[in-house]
Amino acid sequence: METTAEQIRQEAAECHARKVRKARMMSSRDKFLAGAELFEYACKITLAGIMNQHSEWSIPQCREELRRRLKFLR
Amino acid sequence: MSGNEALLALVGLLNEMKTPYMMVGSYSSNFYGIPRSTKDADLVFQFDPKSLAEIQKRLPKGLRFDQQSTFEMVTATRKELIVIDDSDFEIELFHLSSDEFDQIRFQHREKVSFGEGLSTWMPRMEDVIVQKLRWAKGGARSKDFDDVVAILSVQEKVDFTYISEWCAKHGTLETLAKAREEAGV
Repeated sequence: METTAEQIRQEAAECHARKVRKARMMSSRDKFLAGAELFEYACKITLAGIMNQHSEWSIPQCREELRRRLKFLR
Repeated sequence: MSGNEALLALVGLLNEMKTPYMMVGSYSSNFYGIPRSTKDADLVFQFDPKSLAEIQKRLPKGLRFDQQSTFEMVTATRKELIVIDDSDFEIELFHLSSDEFDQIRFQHREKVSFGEGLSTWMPRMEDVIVQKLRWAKGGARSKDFDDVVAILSVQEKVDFTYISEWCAKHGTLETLAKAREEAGV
């Protein structure tokens, strides 16, 4: 059965509500530190993806590719 | 050195030097809204050549200033970039500008203590919203709009009279209305 636009909208609204509830429960310290922690976690996953995709590359080459991709972030 | 270790070391130094500063950008919106990933920490500080030289001199190990200060197009202010050894995370130190709202939000900033000796300076929540709406409009950056929606969704008491007054001055009332609609407030 095909997912309808209304189902997607509802799922997105529920997801947002979950995020709001979670944010309200977090300590101010955790919220303060979350930005960099999430960034570094995302970098690790991206780096693992690059290494998997280019198994012939050295680690410095993979890190350079990560840096190249990070430049796309504004 | 991780991004947070570097930031906490810098914040500790600024506190120790009693340099007037505050966290801005995603660190301030994460604090009031829904935390998201960020590749840099932005701070605004009251620039004077003497204190900048002192910060450079006492900068914690593993942190270094990029050679040249640059001009940030979105915010139209000068900034210093601090890079961290072995990290892709960066810290940007913006000079406090003469812009009327920049001055006001800096005056309104509040000291926040997190325990375990960690404290910093944050803008008021309403000031974060006003500034993010400016960026969302001027820089057309969707993440700033999303940050405003997140803050409005999480916070239960918001002074919309104050926010609307500044939005009228900045021409961002329409963007505020859209954010309120999206957040359902």
